[in-house]
Amino acid sequence: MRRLSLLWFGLPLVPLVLWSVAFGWRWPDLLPAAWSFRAWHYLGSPPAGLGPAVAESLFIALAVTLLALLIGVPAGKALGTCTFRGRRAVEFLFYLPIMVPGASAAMGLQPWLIRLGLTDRPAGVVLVHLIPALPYLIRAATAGYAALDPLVEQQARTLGATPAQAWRLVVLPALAPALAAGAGLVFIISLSQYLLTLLIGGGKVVTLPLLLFPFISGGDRAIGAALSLVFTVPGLLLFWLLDAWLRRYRLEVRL
Amino acid sequence: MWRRQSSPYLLLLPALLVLGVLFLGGLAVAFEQSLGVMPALGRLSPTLDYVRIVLASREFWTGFGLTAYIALTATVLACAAGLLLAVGLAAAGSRSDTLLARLPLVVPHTVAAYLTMIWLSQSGLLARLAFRAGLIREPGGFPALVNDPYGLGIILTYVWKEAPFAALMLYPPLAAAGRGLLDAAATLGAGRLQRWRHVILPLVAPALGAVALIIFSYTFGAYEVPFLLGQTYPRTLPVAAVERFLSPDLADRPVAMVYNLVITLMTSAAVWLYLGRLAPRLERGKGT
Repeated sequence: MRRLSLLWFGLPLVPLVLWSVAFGWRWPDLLPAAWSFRAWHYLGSPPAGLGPAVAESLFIALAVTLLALLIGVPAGKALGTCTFRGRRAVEFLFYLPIMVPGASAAMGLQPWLIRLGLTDRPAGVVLVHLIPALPYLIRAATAGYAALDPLVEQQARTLGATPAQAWRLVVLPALAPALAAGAGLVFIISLSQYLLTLLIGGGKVVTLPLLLFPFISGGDRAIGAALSLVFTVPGLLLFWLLDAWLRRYRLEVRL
Repeated sequence: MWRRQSSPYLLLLPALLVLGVLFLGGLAVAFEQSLGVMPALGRLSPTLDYVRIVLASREFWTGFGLTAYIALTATVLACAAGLLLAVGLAAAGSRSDTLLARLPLVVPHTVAAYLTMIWLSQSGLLARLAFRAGLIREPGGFPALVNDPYGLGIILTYVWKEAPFAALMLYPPLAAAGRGLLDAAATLGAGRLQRWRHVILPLVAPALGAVALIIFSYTFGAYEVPFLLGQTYPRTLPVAAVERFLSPDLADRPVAMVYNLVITLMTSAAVWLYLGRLAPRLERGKGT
């Protein structure tokens, strides 16, 4: 089983590494005839725009994650701990953006965002990234709150903790694994958005996927491969770290 | 009587506002524009003309057929592969395998499409292997799997990406039942086929339905992979919608919105099915 999964999931990624250091790789060679770091040198040079694109991607993804936490945690508390009227409708609304493409909504929003001066800027892009990202955080927070014993907070209060202390010392540590899993997902979702960023960023907000896209749809193969690696590795690392950390809590990162 | 517990509605308010305004609001404007209403251009009276034009066009129906065909095929294949994988993982019971199976989930769709080009195009790695094996003499001898009329490259990309996702969703009910159930069935004389029919399928059925709906709605509405690996014509509905939307001709915009409307209807039907039919069964499954 292990060999099979390694073959099926790991092997396809290997040619990316080879292509990124290939100096031409002609038909019908199974390996590049010559090697060169040309693509990596190009990516390191200012005209490639890699530095600003990475910074822009990280900035947007961090902003989306923070906003999603602020908005999603209270919603998760309501869904995880309360019974109330209209719950099914709320759940339906929170589920829709996971399956209905956010791009359709973004295309409708665009004229309004233009009027508000939010297009062609990171702020507008952050807003539309919330559409696909927020539902995942709400789900994670809901699961976290549902697993939390509501009495522990009261016990902390009975023992003299202020509401802030009870939250910081009792509730937050218990929620942390679920929230970390949700936040990690949100971060990766924001990082990998191409279409939403293009539609609202108008090509002026250049994140990693926007930088990568032209190379894939018919540009320099070596540079495309190197950029793909740059694009994939951070998500991979984040995922692996989260998994290693969450394993202690017997939680799984769900995509 | 006032309780110190805050009202659930107050807690939900920010999320309701954000998703209500951004998502439902955006869809509402898209709907309005599909009726030709664009206040910025002074067009205020709704008309069904654009809906009629789209529904009467060959381009739309070919695109609809292509999109549905790709989404259905990818869903069936990904679910089948995911189920096999989940059963294999449950039998092996090792964590490092489930971690490995998650690899494709982290690979962005754009990169996955790129991998498909590198491996499956007519000058790709598989074609080169076929040449070495003496099966083909030139790149053209290898079947067209990228930008091909049957969307095979698109489907294969989705299967590679989504099969592990399906496996991870199907794994928990199998793992919860444990090997014991299968062993017991075998001891009682159940053959391989019977074990699948009477033990494995009933265990995973609700999760399988949910996974299928999620994969279907994703593949029905996604843009990147069919844009990169599809033909220029016919195009899937999301690719056609984006192209019409970005067109400088403003008359194209209501048409783009009709496309968006169809995508939204198809995918929200999947959500409705999921929440109405499958989620309750999944919840019940967890409780037992």
